Amino acid sequence: MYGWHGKILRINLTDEGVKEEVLSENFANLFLGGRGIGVKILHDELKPKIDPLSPENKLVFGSGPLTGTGAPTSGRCCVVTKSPLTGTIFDSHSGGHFGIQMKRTGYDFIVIEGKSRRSSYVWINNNAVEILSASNIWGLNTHKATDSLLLKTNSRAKVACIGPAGENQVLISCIVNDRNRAFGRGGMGAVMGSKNLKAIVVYGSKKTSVADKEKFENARKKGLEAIRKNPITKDGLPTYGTAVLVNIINEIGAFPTNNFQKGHFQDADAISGETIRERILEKKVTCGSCSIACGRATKIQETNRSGEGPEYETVWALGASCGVKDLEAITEANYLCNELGLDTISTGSTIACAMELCEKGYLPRKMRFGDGKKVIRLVKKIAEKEGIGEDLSRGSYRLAKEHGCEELSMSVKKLEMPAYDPRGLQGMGLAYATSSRGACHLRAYTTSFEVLGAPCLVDRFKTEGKPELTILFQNISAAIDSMILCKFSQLALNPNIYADLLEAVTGEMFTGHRIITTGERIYNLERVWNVREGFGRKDDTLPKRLLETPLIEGHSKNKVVNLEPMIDEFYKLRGWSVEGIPTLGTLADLKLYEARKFVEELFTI
Amino acid sequence: MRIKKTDLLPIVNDLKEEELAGLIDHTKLKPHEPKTKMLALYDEAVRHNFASVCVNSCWAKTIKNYRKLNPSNVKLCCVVGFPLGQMSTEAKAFEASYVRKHGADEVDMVINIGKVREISSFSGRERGLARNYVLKDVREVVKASENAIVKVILETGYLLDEEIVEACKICEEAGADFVKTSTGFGPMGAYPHHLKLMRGVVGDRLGVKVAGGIRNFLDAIRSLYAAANTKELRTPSKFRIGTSAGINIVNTLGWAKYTDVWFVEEIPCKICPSNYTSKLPIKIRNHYIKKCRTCAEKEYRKFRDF
Repeated sequence: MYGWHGKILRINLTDEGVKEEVLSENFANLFLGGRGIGVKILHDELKPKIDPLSPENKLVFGSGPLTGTGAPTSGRCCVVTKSPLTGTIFDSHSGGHFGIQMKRTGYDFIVIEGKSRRSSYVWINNNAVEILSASNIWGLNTHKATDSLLLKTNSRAKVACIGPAGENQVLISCIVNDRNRAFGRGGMGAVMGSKNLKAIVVYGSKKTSVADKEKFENARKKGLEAIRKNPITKDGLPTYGTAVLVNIINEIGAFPTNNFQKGHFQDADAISGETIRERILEKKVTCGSCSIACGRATKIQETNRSGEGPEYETVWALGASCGVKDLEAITEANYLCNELGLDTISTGSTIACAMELCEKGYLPRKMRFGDGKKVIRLVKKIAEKEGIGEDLSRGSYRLAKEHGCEELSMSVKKLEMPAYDPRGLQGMGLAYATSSRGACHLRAYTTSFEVLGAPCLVDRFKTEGKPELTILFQNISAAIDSMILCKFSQLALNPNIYADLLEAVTGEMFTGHRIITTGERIYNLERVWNVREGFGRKDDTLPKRLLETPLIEGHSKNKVVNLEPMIDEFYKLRGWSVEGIPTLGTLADLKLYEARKFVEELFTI
Repeated sequence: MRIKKTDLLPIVNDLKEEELAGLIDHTKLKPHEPKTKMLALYDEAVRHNFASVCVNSCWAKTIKNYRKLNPSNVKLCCVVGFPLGQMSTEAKAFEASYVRKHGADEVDMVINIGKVREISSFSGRERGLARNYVLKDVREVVKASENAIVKVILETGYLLDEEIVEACKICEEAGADFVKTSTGFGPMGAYPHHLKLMRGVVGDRLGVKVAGGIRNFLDAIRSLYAAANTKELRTPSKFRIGTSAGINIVNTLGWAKYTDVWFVEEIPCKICPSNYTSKLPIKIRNHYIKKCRTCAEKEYRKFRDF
């Protein structure tokens, strides 16, 4: 099988059993890889309604057919599991170099099952797999744990580990790889922590086979050229990092401020990509096989602390969302999140929610918007579940609900929203509401056509046509997450270029349409999985504020999200019932026969 | 000008990526570009099968020599009298003959815009003199270009509609092969309104080249609708797109095939030159403002944030 080593590594932490399985060719044909195959494995193996933090849950580390080939932006990796934060199926992705190194071990997927009796880590050196004690690194932050593990194993190995937040099963914790890159969203760290698994260390030397090298080289060059020629991937992202978006999104009035109370942050310039470049940038950082280099290595002069970030979402979540304009405080909070293993988006949004709860009198604490030092203190408390940090560690939805005002949580399906106010981007509103993993901008990055003009600009306030475009982008995103490439590639490439790359690597016939249909298959399988867990139309919605309270200033003034008509059309175009359940015909068309059986039973009941 | 979704869809459905690439003049005309970028421009044009590479005259020899080592069907197009068009006729003719000698297959000259404006400003003898000057200006370049394809840049942003019409007629009379909208350095990009006007004058006898602000497939398709609405006109001898974003245009066309939602009917003002007058000379600006006030679609102006 070209593009694959053809092996799945299954590690049972309960009995420390390790076995190799063959990667089914059928899986690769129908679900591409990464997210797709990960979802399929969990769909087939996980029982419905299990506790995500119980030994029954599984963690699937996945690579894609393009990982390790040198295809543009292919240095990523994904983790799929049932999220303890949302209760949905959840895939989380990370850049850096872990993905490529993992595939070099000769295993395309690593499935982690059960729960270790002692704190442990897994060391995979090519085919040799060891489950070792992590007693002396348990409690260390991600940087120290990584350094220690590299000393113990191989300095050229790559580490994905959890910090104290994951160990404490904080629901907004993440898995950190390469010291500063994160499988950020959905509480992946907590799942790993619940298994007493501190880290996975990988080192390998096996190359990914390519079916047609000449064809691949041409497709790769074409892809690189497209990235070099696109104004966003050529100039904006490399020069200013992802935070280049701060001024752009703020200017259109869709930069959520003070927990989405406003869409325009007056001090945006103080935290923008331009200011980051001027004040704290040390050098650009790039993931494996990527020519964009949007990562930022930074240093805070006053404290002499250095690390990576902040990125756009982080600078927003720990900054504008909390009303903080102090770039150094945001950067320090970002470093802490990386070290303690916290998702910066959910952490910032949860703190912002707490601040609004205090402001409105629901939470009797001294927290106010704009207090950067408080944000830093709260980050530490969340990771340690200390004092108020215990409440915040469960995410904004549970926090707001416990304090009697769940509408102040800016989340969908309990996942905190990212840095785009959907009142200024109608398509993003639909994408958040219908996302399979909760409020996520990367399930369908509608900003690309609603703001950035890639492939071309569409009126951001119009709802007409948005369901169709959102579906197209959800499908292609599912496919990109399965190949696995970076979403930024989507700004410059098109489905035909992806097809050329896949065809050259796998030797299978691929077209743009096949890729999009595969994405549709994955999205529908995720939907059936979520339906099985009790999700439905009632969950495909947005916080009341976004539906009813218009923005009061900025260039999206007086706008709310006109969601319901878009949802109706979305379901219709997806081939789902009015309740948001994929119909039998849709599932049969997509060759999802097992999922079809479940829906059939559901309809019979 | 109003362009409906149904106007554009047949063109998109009919158009393949390689066909669109074959209509593109892959352009690099900025003054700071070094030799390496020029050679890369040629390589890109070869890889994507673009119609030509369009460069300043000083690069003709470089590209010619590079093309000898890496032969292809990509034509070499050089600009002459660029970007102002205010050089003497002799200087333009010399430049045209120079680039021709050094391998240029196509010559994009800039018309003497001031003289074109004189034609409509004056009457009687002076008008005739101005017209003859422009005619001679173009004719001499055509002659010096020795059978190369000559495209005449009108810089439509500086001209009134009737001046565009007159300039097109002069170009045809002088033996040019194409009329072209803009340099990309002028006060306004290319708009469907101008393209339609130009095609209306030159018919299928001359080609029309759109240049200035064509960044993605939607811009390109709108231009095709305005100036090459039949399959016969969609050939490199009748229609060209001059752009530095050729790769992006071809790549973005890949998205157009998966949904027709991109082609929502735009508010007409969005693609109307009257809406982009901030850099225009006052007289032309007033002309557009007047046009706007009497426009049949003027009700759209109430949407101030389009």
